[in-house]
Amino acid sequence: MDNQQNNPQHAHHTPLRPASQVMRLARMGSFHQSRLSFMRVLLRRLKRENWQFDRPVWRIDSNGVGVATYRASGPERSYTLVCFAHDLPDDQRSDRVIAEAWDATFTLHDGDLGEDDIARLHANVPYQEAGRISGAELVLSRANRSVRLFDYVATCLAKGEQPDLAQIEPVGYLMRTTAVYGSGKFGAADRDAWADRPEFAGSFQPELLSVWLIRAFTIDMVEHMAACRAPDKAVKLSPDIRRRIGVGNSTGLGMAPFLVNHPALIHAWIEARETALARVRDVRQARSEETALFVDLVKRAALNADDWHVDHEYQAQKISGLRADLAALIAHIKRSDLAADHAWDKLYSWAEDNLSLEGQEQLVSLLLEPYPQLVDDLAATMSADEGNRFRIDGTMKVATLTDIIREIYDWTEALDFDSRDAQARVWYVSEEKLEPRLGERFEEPIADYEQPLAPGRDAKRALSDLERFDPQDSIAGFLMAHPEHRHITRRAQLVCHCGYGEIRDNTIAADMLPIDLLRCKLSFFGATKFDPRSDRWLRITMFQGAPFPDELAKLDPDALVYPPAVDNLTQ
Amino acid sequence: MTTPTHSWSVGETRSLTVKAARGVGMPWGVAEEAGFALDWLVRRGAPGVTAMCRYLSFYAVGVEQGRTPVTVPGTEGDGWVCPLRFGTAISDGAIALPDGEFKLREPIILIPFLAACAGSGALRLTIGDMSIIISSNGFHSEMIPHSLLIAEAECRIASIAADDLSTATQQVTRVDSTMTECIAVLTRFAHNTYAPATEASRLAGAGAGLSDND
Repeated sequence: MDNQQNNPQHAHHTPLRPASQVMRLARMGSFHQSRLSFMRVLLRRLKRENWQFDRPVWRIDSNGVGVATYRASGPERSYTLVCFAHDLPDDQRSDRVIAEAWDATFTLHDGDLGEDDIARLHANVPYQEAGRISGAELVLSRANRSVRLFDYVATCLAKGEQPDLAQIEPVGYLMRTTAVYGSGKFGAADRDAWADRPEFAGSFQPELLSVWLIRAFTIDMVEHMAACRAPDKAVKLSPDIRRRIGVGNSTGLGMAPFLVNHPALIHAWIEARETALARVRDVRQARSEETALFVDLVKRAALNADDWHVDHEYQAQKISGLRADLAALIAHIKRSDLAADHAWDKLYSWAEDNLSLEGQEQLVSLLLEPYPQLVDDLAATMSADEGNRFRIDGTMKVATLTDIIREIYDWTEALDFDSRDAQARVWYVSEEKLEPRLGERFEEPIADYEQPLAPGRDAKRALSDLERFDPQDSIAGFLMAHPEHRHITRRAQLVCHCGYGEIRDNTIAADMLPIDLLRCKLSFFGATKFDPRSDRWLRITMFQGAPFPDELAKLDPDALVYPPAVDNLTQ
Repeated sequence: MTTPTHSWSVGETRSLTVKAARGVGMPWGVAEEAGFALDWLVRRGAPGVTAMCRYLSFYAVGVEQGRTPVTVPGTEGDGWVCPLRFGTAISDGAIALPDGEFKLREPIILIPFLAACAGSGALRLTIGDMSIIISSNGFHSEMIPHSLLIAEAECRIASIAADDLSTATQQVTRVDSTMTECIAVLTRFAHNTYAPATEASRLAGAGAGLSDND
């Protein structure tokens, strides 16, 4: 690392932003992808380790039905995505996770596989949750076609023409996944079976490897269908157009409780990002190539914001604010001396005073871009071993637990959980598809089925019972008398060591927006083009702009995340 | 649709157990301990799935009959000593290890909680005539594992010298197809935590539209 940038005598050791500032839903719902996003971590590693990719099996017929496999081979192991392509009538292409048939279904197999494995998987994977995969599989997934774009692209290619980018950009994908299951679900290998493999350091790496290979499959499928229609005339997608096609994802409430249920993991994610920001703010003097890259990326982020169109009013307003923020940022940069001491810290401080949360968090992501040497090592810290039980410290005094709860949940002081608005919602699981849902406590008979996803309310309830105990008593006795507070007690003891693990907002409030939770998680995945379809589900695009397996060796994935700058915007 | 060799991951079985324990009426925090106990036992080759299936079945019937699970041996009255409540109270430090004999339901479930307080030493759990040596990371018994499945027994706990330790643990990573019936029982209990679906909640709760064509 550079001496001037990291000499302790010059560093002013910016403190991490406090959890009380970062872990608010409105801010979490404004996070953008960054160098630490898991898709980017994955592609950097695959490129650095020179992974090889091939397609051992392609048995898809002219109706688009059959099986294909995509193999990724690394220094020590290989993985194979098994793809089953189906013929799905348009009227069955409905409703995301609660559907029962899909255009394509997938599993990621650990290693190479033979015909017996393919036969076994063919009897299970197309049925998704109703089938079973084995400990030799890591991921189960499925996807549906974007009807408008898939047919359009296939038709263009069959005519021997390239599709128009103006048609591609607003959608951004040929297929949209509706679930990507990993970590032991539906029979897949437990996370601890592969967590120590270096290629999976960090979070969600098997899932995102699957999605990246699915992207290649979607292109092969559309080119195959075009070739079947017009064998003599059909062409393949040109590389530049192809790269603008990612994989879509529809995601709903199933993802929202994740942030509440995994406090240690969420802490690791947020702490890595906050540490990265603090390191960059500590840079005393930026080099000219670093400032040049930053300025270029700000302009490309502005293009990205211009290209980001949604119908949902809440997000549309945020995007409008982001566009204004980026224009203000560009103007401010022109007036600023980025070569001055601690220019990045000054810029961040200016943003806190002058930009919306969308703009502030976009800036955080952009500030990390020129500094792989300060940021990228943090990716390896973004995981947590949650398999072991967090053992409650029963010797803790009632007074200590009371203090911990008062500190972590200080934001509940102003809330009256007897009021209807403060507890309007109930998180529950519906028996229909075993999916998390959000209901209205006072309008539906669901309170008996409530999931433990309201830590603020639960902490306040525990506090009122703690007040009846002697402060010098141990909480072991308190929990014996009040086993109903065991969950929140464990949580408070855990979160007092990992402060970013708790959301500092009421997750059952009448005005809570689940899409804020979804956006936070998806930004860590590396998703772009958040497109809320309601307050509780949205579409995103993954890997748009990224290299394909056949071009990873010659392209830098980190350079392709933002759309390329166009001439009239460059200085 | 399932293959003859189907199996479950330990993680999904643990999640299912938490829901099943909640489904028979345990508070969430105690249900989480049931999941932990199952995970600990299964990974060490003990019949944790069967034990939990048996215990939750007993618990459900007991609660339905108006009987009460209690934490402290000797206070059960018409109820019974719950190995999860007793175990957590011991590992929390709320109660000391009992000196004498005590009657306990499904005592194998206590093992993970004793392991949590074994520290660098070891404990001997005597279940009727059987003896189990427990350390912080495993257990050892002369009996074949399924002999440890006992509905209720007089038990005794003793600290023993660390050099008596012989708790080489078997590393089990899957729940195999012989557990199909038990998984079905746990699934049935877990079902109690799911709200019946209505068309209105299906649409409002998930925020779904009718078609996802785009």
